[in-house]
Amino acid sequence: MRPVKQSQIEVMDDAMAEVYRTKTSAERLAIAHDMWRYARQRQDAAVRWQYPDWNDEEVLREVNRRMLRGSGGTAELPARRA
Amino acid sequence: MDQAELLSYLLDVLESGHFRYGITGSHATMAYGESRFTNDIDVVMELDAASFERFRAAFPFPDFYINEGATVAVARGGMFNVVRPDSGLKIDVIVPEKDFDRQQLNHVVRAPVNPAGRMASFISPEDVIIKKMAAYNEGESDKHLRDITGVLKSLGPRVNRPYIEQWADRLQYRHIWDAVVARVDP
Repeated sequence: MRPVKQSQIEVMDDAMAEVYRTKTSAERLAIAHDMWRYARQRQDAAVRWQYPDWNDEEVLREVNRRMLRGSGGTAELPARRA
Repeated sequence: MDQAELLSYLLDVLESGHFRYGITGSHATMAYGESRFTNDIDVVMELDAASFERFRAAFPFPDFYINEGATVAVARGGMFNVVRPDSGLKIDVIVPEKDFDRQQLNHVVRAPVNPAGRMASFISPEDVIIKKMAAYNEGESDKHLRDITGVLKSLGPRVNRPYIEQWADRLQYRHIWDAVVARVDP
């Protein structure tokens, strides 16, 4: 049984809750899908900055690896084919 | 393929193949509550060997990659992944193995997933909350607790709390539920 403290439970504030109550499920999912696109764009920019000599394929593979790691590391990409 | 396109593709497969399913995890809590970043689409599915072959055929390599544990998960219950290598996206498929997991599919909620009004089956808010408590209890991130509070704050009295309390007692998550409720209803 894992204990839980009040301080570790985040709650969205009342103003945001009011905003979300006006949104449909489709609109809420659209926001999340935009967040995913934004996260990919940020990762892409970060990888290109860190490894300026990498080509597009190398950048794409690293971005994908980071995105999957961010999902809990429960999956790995298949090995690169020759 | 981006996340919205993968969700749409998954729904094409599930709906046209008449699979018994429910979208769960953060995609479900977002449908009811607060949006957040996620890289995964979680789906509870009833699968046997024959239906798994139909499902797998819709996700061919190299466009998709299904992990090797999939057949074991289908046979015994458990989880397997469908990865989209070109975008780093992942579908987690949960095959029910416990009473609670099986009964979730008896009361899914149909809700729109895009502006065109495309409908999908979601695991109910109450069952998603219970699974989020399970994920937290198994040592996963505190983000699951925020997902729960997001649903409670957004749906308010429409959440069937006595149902959650009943399962929380049965599954020994009552301490988590009480802590979350105390935070949402101070």
